[in-house]
Amino acid sequence: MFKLLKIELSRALKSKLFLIAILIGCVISISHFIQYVIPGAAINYSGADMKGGAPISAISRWIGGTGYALHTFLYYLIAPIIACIPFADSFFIDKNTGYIKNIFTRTKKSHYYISKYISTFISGGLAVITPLLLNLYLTAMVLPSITPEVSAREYPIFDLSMWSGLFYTHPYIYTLLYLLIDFVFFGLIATIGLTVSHTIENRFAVLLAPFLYYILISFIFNTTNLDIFDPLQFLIPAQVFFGFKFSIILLEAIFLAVITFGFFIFKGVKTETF
Amino acid sequence: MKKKGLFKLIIIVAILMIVIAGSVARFNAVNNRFPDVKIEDYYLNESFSYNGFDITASDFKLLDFSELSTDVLKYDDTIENAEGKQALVTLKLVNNNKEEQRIDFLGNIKINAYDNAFDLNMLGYYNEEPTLTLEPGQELTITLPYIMFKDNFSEKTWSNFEDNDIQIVCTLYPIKRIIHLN
Repeated sequence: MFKLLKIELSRALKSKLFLIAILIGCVISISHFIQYVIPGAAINYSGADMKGGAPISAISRWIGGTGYALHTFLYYLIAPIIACIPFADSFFIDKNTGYIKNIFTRTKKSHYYISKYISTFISGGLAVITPLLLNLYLTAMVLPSITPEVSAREYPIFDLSMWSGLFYTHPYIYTLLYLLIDFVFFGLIATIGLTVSHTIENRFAVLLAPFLYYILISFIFNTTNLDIFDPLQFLIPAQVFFGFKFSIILLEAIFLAVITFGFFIFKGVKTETF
Repeated sequence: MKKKGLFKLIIIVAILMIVIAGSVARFNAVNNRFPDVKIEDYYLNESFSYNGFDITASDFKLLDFSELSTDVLKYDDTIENAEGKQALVTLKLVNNNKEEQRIDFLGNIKINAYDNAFDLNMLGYYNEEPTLTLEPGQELTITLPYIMFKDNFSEKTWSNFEDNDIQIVCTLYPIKRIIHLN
C-alpha cells in the first residue's frame, strides 16, 4: 500500500494542477503583501511618531492577521476551490479513463481508496497553506516580530478569543497551530470532491461540490446566529468573531473526516468496478 | 546520468542554504532595527520615573457592580442591569519637570487578553481635580475608575478574577512599564 500511496502522492504533488492552485493562492497572497505589508514597512522606516506605540509588527499585518483586509476574506472564501484543484477530481478521472481497473488488478481496492484519500487530503491542505506561509515569510522579512500587546489595540484577539493567552505570549506558535488547523480542514474539504465522485457524473460539479458545501454551511450558521460553527470565520487566524472554541472546530473536523472517509471507502469497496 | 542528478541536487541544496542564510540575516536585521519591547515591572507602592514624573500606585480596590452606590450608577447607565466589576486604582503623581506638563501615560487596565481604558465619565465622581496635567513640582493623587463587563471576559478569566494578574499598562514601547496590582 505504501508503494501505491507514493504513486498517488507523486501524482498529486507533481502535477501542473497543484502548481496552478498554489499560483492562484500566491496571487492573492502577494497582492496582500504589496498592498498592506509594504506600506506598513514604509511607515516603520519613515521614523513616523508612533505616539508611544510599537512599530507595525509582522503578526498584525500578515494575511492571516488582518481580519479586515479584503484579501484575507477573499482567500478564505476561495480556499476550498484552491484545495480541490490539485486532486479532488482524480478519482472521477480514474473511473472514467479506466485507470482504476488497471489498479484493481494489481492491488486491493481498499488500498487504492485509502491512498487516494490521503493524497487528496495532503495536496488540498498544502495547496491552501503554502501561499499563506509565503505571505507570513515575506511579512516577517520586512516587519519586526514584536510580541503582541493587547493594550496596543493592534490585534483582533481578545480574552474571549480562542488561544488568546498563546497569541500574546508565543504568537508564531499560535500562527503555526492555526495553519495546521487550516491544513487539516481544507484537506478534508478537498476530500468531499472524492466522496461525491461516486454519485456525480460531471467533473466540474465534483470540483465545485466542496465549495458549495462550505458556502452553504456558512450561510446556515450565519443566518441562525451560530457564527462560532462557521468555518469561513473560524479558519481565519485573526478570529473575526468572538467565542470560537477548539472543541467545536475539532468536532466539525472529525464529523467531516468520518463522513468523507467512511462514505468514500465504504462505497468504493462495495461498488462493482468490472 | 547519476552525476547529472547529483549535480542538480547540489545546486538545489546550495540555493536553499543561501535562501535560508539570507532569510535569517534579513530577519535578524529587521528585528535589530525594531527590537522587541523591554518590560519593566512595578508593584503597588513602588515608585518609578517616566518623562520627568514620579508615579506610584498606592491603592487598588475591586468592586462588583452590585456593590456600587446609586450615585456612581448615575454616571454610566449601562451598568445598572449588567454583571461586572469596577476597579479603582489610586495613583500618586509628582511632576519633576520645570514646566507644566500632561503626563503621557496610557493607564489601561489589563487582565490576560482583556484591556480597557479608565472611565472618563466617572473620573469626575472620584476626583475633585480630574486632571493629568500637573504644575512643576506639583503632587497629585488621582483615582482612576475602570468598568469591566462580564460579557467581555472568558469563563476562565472571570471565574477566578482576583487570581489573575491585574495590571495597569503605563507605557507600551520601547519600554513596557506595567504596575501589577495584586
